[in-house]
Amino acid sequence: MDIDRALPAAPPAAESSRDGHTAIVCHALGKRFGRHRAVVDLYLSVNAGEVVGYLGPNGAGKTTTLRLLTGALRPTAGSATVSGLDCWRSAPAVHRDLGYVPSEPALDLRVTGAVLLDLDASMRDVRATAARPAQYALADRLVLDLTRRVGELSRGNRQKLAVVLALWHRPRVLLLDEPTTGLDPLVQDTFRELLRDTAAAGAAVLLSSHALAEVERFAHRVVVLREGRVVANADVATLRHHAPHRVRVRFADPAAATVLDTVSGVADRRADGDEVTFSVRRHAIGDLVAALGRVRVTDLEIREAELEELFRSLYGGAP
Amino acid sequence: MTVTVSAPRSALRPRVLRHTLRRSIRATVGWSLALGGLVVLYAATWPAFRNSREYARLFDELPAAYRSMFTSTGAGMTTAAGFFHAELFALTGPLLVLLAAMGAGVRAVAGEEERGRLDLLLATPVSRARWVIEHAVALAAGVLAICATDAVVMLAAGAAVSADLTPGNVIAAWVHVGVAGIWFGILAVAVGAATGRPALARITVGIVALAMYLVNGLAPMSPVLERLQPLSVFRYAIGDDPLVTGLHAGHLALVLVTALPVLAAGAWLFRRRDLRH
Repeated sequence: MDIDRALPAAPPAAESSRDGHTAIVCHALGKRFGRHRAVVDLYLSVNAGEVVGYLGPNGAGKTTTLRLLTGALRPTAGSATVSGLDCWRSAPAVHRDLGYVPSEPALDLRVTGAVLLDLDASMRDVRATAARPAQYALADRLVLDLTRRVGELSRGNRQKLAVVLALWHRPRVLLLDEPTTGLDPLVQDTFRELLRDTAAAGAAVLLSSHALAEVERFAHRVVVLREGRVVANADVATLRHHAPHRVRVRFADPAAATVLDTVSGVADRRADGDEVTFSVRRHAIGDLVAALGRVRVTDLEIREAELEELFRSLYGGAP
Repeated sequence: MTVTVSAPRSALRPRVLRHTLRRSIRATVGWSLALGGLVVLYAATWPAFRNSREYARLFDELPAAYRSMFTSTGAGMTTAAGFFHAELFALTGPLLVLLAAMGAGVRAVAGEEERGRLDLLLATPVSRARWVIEHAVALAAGVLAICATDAVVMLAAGAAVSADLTPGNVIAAWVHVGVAGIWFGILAVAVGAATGRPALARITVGIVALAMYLVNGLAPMSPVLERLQPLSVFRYAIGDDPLVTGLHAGHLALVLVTALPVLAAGAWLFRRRDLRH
């Protein structure tokens, strides 16, 4: 069979390439370790061509979910399937089309990247000579030297190697566990391009992260996990619309703070002398700036809300 | 860029064997050299034993039960075969081969898992059962390579000191030791696969090997131990002094066949458990 192993150079609009075919499905999925419930009654689906950001604070169960999907863990409730195949019972079949980047990839340090890629090709029953063009093309794109021993590579370069290992065989399902930690900003851009291309080629991508800012640029949808449960599942466009900013204003005259009453979408307001902090929905920022223009402001800080703040604003209080 | 990928190849084609063998070359060479050095050392002392009546008498005067730790056919220390058997094949040879095999066996699953590498390695189309089986085959090949090398070393060193050794029996003795090593290596693979714990695998192999060694060596001293002797791998590996009596194919087959359910149990438990993180 002929496989075009080069990834498309320019990604088509990702939205249009979502073909609706559901690639990843978690159905009432649960995982208990003794008494600790790491994942609870989880429903999650990712369509082919879709990039889903999987968000949550550390310890929320993101890695456990991904390890259930790779078949490293056996579910204690429900099921996880990829393209209709059970991730536990049919693991080897699922893995044929799976790419996985663990959060801190543990690789054999004594061999070169090229040797690890040869091994990966052999495990996928592909001749090394047939696999190399795609592997080296990806390594070139990420500026990674495959002739060096893994032990000599920096953390970022090991991360790149893990990305090449996950992508060279053009997986239809891609699981990434906080993949950009350790990558410098320039490489992160290349990495985002690669992800977009992979999704555009029809792969379902599930990307875990603890930072909304990291995923919102290329995820179509965001699923938020907290203490093993899904607490939010939203379009990135919806999130953007509702995403609050944290604002701190210092007024020359504390009485002038009443000007904020005229702005809709101000919440969590707290005053401390002449300083007021509050959150404001993104769409109301224009109104806020106009209102502040009418009084004397001595200091102003606006920053993106933390994830927790975002979901407090979206869902009103702790879920 | 377009690459033509051939149709899927045979399911029997190994996927990780070649890589595992290549990775274990250093350990295999190291153990071969260590054991080879020992062989040369013993060979160098042989001329002193050959012509010594005192040693012969000393050995003959040992209590029969104690002597049985060194020989089961009654071959004395003054024949080359008896000497090499007592010095090399009664304890140190099997012990070193066992250590080499155990190291490879522990690394196969539990060692990789402890380093956190198994998650990624097994997120490929290689099943856990295949991983276990191919690593067991690699282990067997490595152990046999060590034994083959040291059989050659022994033939050369023996010839150098004019020791009267039958080449066929030298090879037989090393094959016996190798097969015993493979059995314990497979035990290490199985315990490591079942539990993911390298230390537990090592302790299990250590205890089982010690118990089997003592049961075999001390069997003549106790009717109870004598009844247990057929359960000891050492009974079949060194029990007939293969260096004196040659190859016992039936015994070798028995040892290898009993390794299969051990390996199968390890693979079965491996398929049912979570990988450790």
